[in-house]
Amino acid sequence: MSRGPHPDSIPDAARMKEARPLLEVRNLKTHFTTRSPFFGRSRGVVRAVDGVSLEVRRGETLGLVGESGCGKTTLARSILRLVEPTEGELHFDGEPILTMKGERMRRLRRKCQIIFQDPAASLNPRMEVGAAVDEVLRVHGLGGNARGRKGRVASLLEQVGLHPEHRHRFPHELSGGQRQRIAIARALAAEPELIVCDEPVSALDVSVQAQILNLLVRLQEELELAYLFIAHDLRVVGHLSHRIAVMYLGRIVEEAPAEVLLQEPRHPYTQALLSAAPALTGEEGKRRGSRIVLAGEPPSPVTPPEGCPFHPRCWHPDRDEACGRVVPGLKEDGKARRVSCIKLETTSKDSS
Amino acid sequence: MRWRDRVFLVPLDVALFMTAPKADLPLLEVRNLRTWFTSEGRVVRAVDGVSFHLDPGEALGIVGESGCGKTVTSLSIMGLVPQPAGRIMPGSSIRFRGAELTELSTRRLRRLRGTEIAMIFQEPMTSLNPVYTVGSQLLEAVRRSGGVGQSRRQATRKGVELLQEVGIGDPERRFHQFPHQLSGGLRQRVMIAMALAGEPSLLIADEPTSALDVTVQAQILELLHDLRRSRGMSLLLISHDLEVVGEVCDRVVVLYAGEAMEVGSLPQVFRQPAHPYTRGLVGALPRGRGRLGGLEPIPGSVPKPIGPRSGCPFAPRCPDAEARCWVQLPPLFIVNDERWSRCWLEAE
Repeated sequence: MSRGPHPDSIPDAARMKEARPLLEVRNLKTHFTTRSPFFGRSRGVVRAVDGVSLEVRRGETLGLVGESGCGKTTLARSILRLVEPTEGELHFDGEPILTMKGERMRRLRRKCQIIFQDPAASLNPRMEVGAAVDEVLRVHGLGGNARGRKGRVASLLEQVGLHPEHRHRFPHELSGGQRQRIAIARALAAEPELIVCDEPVSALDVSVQAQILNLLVRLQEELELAYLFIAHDLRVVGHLSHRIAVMYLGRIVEEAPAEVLLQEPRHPYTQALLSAAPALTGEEGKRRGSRIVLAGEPPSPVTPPEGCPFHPRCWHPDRDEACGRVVPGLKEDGKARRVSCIKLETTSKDSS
Repeated sequence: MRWRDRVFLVPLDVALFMTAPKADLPLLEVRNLRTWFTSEGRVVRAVDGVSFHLDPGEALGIVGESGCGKTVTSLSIMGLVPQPAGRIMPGSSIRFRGAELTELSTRRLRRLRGTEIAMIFQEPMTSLNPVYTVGSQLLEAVRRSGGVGQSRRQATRKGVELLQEVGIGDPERRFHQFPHQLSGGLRQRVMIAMALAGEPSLLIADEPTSALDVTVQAQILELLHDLRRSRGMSLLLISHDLEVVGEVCDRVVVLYAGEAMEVGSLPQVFRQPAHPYTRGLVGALPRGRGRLGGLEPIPGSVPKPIGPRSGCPFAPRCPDAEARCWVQLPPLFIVNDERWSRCWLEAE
């Protein structure tokens, strides 16, 4: 298949590869136009993703957290071009994604896989799960002939913690956790470098959720996979992310290494999000009283507020009219953290 | 462990007697509840011998994974078990203020629902009628519970007051809106307002916040907490989320495959679980301690409650299972004054 020396064999190229991020998103915007049911008149623009920049490095997990409607799923789909972004740049391994076509796009699709929240919806109910995994191999021309593919399916099932005899089962004969394992096996079959995980454990019971999280961590170590891990639960994201980005109304409001973000969140929204999580026992010191309870609910992305998207719900004492005017940018703030809040910019300037 | 020498083997009924509730009479007492379903000729033991009590003003959580029987338990209390597939088996007892609910006529049960006992569900949109305004649905609840002597004006005033009590800003405007014009959090508040219309002494909340975002969930939990205090109402909170239960409840029943595995006070049960299943659940919970902060999954998956059963339902997944666990269901052992655990480990 390969013609000429593979770029990997050139040391300089290899070094370049280490340095540059696997996935680079620059100022990505995905807007949808809503039309009224009559006459197709345009009614408004949903700014689902509104200027997101982020990077995912090889073998790294970037967690993406946000509440429903914040645009995290649209962002995931835009990255894979399952929906076409409106504006911005996307690079995978240095190559621009948005202009890709034909064979190159197919190759990208192989290297970037996605797993969804509900594996039952992404599996064909009339196809044995072994055949479903085999299908991926056939489509991408991997695994050789029928016999080779059979062996590969068996080893993939084993890799995700299933028995080879599970291949003859239908999706409805498996439990939710087992179905998610099949979805993961299908993603792995394509030999990806990046897997976008869109709420992969949200539909699972706690005991099974932990199994899948541990499986994802193990696979990452074995296969040097990069994950873009999307979830609404900060603690789930915290468990396997190296870095975490918090999204609100189409934008990233804070991004930092996981420990930093969980232990000293700086953006008022991140702080509220962490504080809103209920406490299993009193020991976290979060029993009623010290909690930040945000008023209201996230505004609609059709009519986002002027200025900082979070300012109508912001609880921070320094909030003032400037927050309703100035759109804050994501600013570096030591500790490899980026925060988008004009009040934090001024306070950090004062202290330094 | 110290409490080991205080462990006795006692029959279930005696165990219940010994856990004498703090108040004179518990508000709700469920004893040996068995609700079975027949599906395609097979018996599904959705709830299979669950017992607990709830004191006036107390918040009790029922926690468990999908299919453990927590929703069927609440439906059994409300007399809403789907007929004819489901059946509360003979020998089950549900007493509310001393009255046996399983023997109550449909009419009397209906009168009890919506007044003394009210219930809210996970998805408010499915319980609200999309073609009526919030106000007209609320009025229905107010008038049904308030008797016939109420004028429409009085009922409307009561309805607006209720909306205010559940923290809905601008209640007059909301009163005239349709459910689809409200956000998920507001809809759940409307459901709570409707539930409060009958001045219930017991509110059953089945996954009340599971469809909501964390920041909104925090608001609703706070509201439930405040209402409980201001109205002296008891709360039976059903959830798959240990943390929600840990946050709101005074005591907890941990259900697994239709059986109560552990019953006890919070936060002790979650801090030092006695039953291997509770221990497993707590260990499987990501706690936000940063990357790879020790997560121990329970192997296998939740069993289907179909067909005859022998032994402890958790035995196939239990790290401590011994030969006896596979053949004989352990009784609820008393661990200490405030805790029982259905595990043979306690018998030693």
